Amino acid sequence: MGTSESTHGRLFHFFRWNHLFPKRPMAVKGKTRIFQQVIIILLFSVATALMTNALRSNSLPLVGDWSQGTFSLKAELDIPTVPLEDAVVKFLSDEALFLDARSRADYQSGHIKGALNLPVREGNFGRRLQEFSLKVDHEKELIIYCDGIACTLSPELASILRGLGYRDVKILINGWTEWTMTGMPFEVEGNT
Amino acid sequence: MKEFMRSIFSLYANPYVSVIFRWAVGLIFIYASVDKLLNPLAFGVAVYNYKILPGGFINLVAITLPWLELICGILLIAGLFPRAAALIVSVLLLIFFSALSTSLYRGIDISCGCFSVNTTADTIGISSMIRDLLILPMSIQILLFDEGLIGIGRGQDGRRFKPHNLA
Repeated sequence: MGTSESTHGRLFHFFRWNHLFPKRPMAVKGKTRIFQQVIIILLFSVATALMTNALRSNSLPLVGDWSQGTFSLKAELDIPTVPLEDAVVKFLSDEALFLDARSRADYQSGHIKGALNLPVREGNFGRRLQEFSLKVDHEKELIIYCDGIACTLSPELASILRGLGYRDVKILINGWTEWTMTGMPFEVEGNT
Repeated sequence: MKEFMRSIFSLYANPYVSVIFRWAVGLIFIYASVDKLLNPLAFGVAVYNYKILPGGFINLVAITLPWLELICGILLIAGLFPRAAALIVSVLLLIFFSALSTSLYRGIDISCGCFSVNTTADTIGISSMIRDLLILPMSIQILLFDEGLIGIGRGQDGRRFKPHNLA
């Protein structure tokens, strides 16, 4: 390397990567091939996603209504949701009855204080529902919860109770998680 | 110094290093996609919380993005279209990074939705941005230097084994 060569020239030469791998020039053809492959991957992914979404049980509508701050169940099932703050107020003033739509085992390992368990997916649900409808007035305000934002147990239970003639049925979305996070009272293993 | 830089750079440019990176990035993306695939609605909530996308697009992203991540991950590991997959992954990482940084700048305290859709776990922070920036050089390395070694696809110039790489 001669002293006549300027520093600028040498630096510039270094950043031309070609001399590092002289045998592997990046072909223009390769670039267009990559873009073609990108389009193939994108199309394949979107097609797979749309197909599985159409087939799966917990599918989403392609365009959802997020104006309520969460994806509204109301849009699909016409069942109102109750914000956590309102649910807390109703709990403290004892205005509403809380219903736990989760399984018996989940209920026993912890539930909102005073909540009744109506496990929609379990075998004895019919009998429990009958007892419940004899015991609880149809004008009573009911707040149904399960766990998880995408939990479908509460809407299921809500539509069943509506069918039985309960007028004031609401859903507390992601109820159990939200409830425990606020530090509101809960019970472990109670009698229903 | 110049020799040192050159050796570091040729290590970075080594096509066998990109095989390792392909597996690393591929496994990360497959792992990241699983929870979102299983709970699209919960992932939609995570996307909504960033408050970047208009409401009409949230479900589309919640439906397609996990599949794109999964498929890119599988392609990277399989070595099929690895550079195209790496290009998509790099763009995704840049999008994630800008979403994270704008949310942090605006001071929104939300969950990342990166690996788990659980809203209580994995709050966004500097660590999630650093994690993002650690994956990016790997995917860029794959994009620039991968030759499809140890994979089912055909390499850059259509040949599976290239003698000059073995020298």
